Amino acid sequence: MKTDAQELTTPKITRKSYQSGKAGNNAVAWTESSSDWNTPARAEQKQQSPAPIAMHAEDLSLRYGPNQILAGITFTLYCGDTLGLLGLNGAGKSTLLKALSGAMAPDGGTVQIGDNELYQNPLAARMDIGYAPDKPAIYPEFRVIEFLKFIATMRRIPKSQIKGAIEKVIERCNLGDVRQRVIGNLSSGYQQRVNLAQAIIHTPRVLILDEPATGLDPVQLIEMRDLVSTLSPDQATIFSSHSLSEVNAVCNRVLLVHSGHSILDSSIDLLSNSNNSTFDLKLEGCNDSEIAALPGLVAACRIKSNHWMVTGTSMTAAHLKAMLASRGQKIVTMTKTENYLDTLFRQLGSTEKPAQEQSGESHHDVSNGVSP
Amino acid sequence: MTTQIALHELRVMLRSPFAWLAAGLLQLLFGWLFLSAVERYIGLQAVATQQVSESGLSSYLIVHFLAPVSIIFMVATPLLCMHLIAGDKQANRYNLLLSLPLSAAQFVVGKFIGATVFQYLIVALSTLLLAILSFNIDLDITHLLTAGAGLLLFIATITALTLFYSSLSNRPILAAFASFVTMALLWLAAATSGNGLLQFASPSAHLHSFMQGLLDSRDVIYFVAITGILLTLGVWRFDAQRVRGASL
Repeated sequence: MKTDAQELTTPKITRKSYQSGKAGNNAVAWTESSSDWNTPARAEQKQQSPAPIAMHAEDLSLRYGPNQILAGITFTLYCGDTLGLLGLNGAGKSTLLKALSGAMAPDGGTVQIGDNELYQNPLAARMDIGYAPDKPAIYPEFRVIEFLKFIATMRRIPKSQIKGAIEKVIERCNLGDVRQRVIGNLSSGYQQRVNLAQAIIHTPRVLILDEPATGLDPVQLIEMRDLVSTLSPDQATIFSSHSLSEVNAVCNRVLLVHSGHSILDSSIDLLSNSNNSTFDLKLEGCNDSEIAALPGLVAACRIKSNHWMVTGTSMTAAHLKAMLASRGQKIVTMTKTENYLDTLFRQLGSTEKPAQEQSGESHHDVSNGVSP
Repeated sequence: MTTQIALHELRVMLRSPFAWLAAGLLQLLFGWLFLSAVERYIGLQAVATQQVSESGLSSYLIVHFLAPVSIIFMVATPLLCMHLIAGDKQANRYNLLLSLPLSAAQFVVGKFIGATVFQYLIVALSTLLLAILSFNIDLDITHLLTAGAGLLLFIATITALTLFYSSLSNRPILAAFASFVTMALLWLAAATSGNGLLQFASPSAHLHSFMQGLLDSRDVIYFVAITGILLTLGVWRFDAQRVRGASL
């Protein structure tokens, strides 16, 4: 078991070193699918200094009997990222978060956190994870301060630093007034704060929050947003929510999960950029690689077989029509939409099964704009 | 870390109103059993033409006080320990505990020690009653200690059994019920059957030797082995969700 001090000296994997294979993992998280792709947003990303990788999940799969709960989910989380995990009820969000927190082992796939692989070296990897389940994980008979002390001990914070860590987290989560109160007597909002406090007490590299806004009043919601936004740039957060506005307000990236598949992994800025246009497309006989090869493409998401949501920079309907025609694609319908995520959710809501389950094809994300 | 988990579990039990209520009722019951046993013994002395020996009092107390106490623990331990893991599941703490940098052995053994120590404290309080007698009467301490050791091992085994059932269920009461039924069936099997296998499998049969004042290493090994096996099953069960390829 590594100590906290040893963990701090762990060499960090940068995006560059990860791509060149120095991270000890053969997976490639970043691919350029189009040679024409040289958008202003992409150029801006290239100019940004590379952020270290906080977590890399590769091909996570889980099956319960006949049900595929997670199907090949792959994504990379960089330090400073706040990733919004979106999906309809039963999409696999909570299961994915349990898998990422080490509470549940998937059938296949890897999760790399620093030097440690979560399922091969679980005790060391879990030191870098903070996890707040959807319903507050508390001991109702305990006082706030006692519960935080227990978690601090379990998280292996050195004895001499436990008091300081508790004071810091009490201040950050505004728990000063209730520190001596029995948790079971607190309102659900305060219990949610305690839940959040236990997750950040050891300053984890990756903070995993499963619907943290549940039970919070508007003021507490703002405080929670402020708390997440003031986390250290060395930390990354995964934040699951049903609320698109919440994700828009807190996150810089979004990962959309549907029936266990990752169908969109993109920067929120790219999706909401006024220079970008989004189209709801129905095509005949088009595959992922053909969509991914569209020039100026920022994000693309397949809703059903041959049904896509695509976002591109300075893309007009005529431009897109011409590009698809030049590639021999036949458009069934094409509608320009204003709000990518809202429209996408409406479309997903009307779809019971993901595309590949209906068509039998392999399903993979063709999103390009995945940078913070 | 095991010690920390054990201390935490002890604190959880000491914070639980149910545990205090149960501990209070057990003390009341044990006190009543003790006084009843002593009173009946005094009655026997008055009736008897000859003085009943003081060592006879020790045997009488074991049969009429410690043996009933062991039967009471067949009900009390499942009720006191049913929450050990099932309670964590019910209170939505289980996934958080699974995500902590703890080994399953640290977690399960820690919980077992905490719960066992709590029950030993209850037993220790009731043994004060015997200590009071020993001031004036020359009791057979060796016999009493042997019976006491058997009782402690018996309680540890029921605790491990309840802990294992608790790890299988999301509902504490189901764990308590399963544990009680298992112990009751094994007790009945030992009491009514002359079958050697059932006698060997029953914790009650092995406890009987201790109650007779026989410290047989086979009985000690039986209790330690059964407790160890049940704890190992609990460890496997805890890891079944979070370790790839593990199952139970």
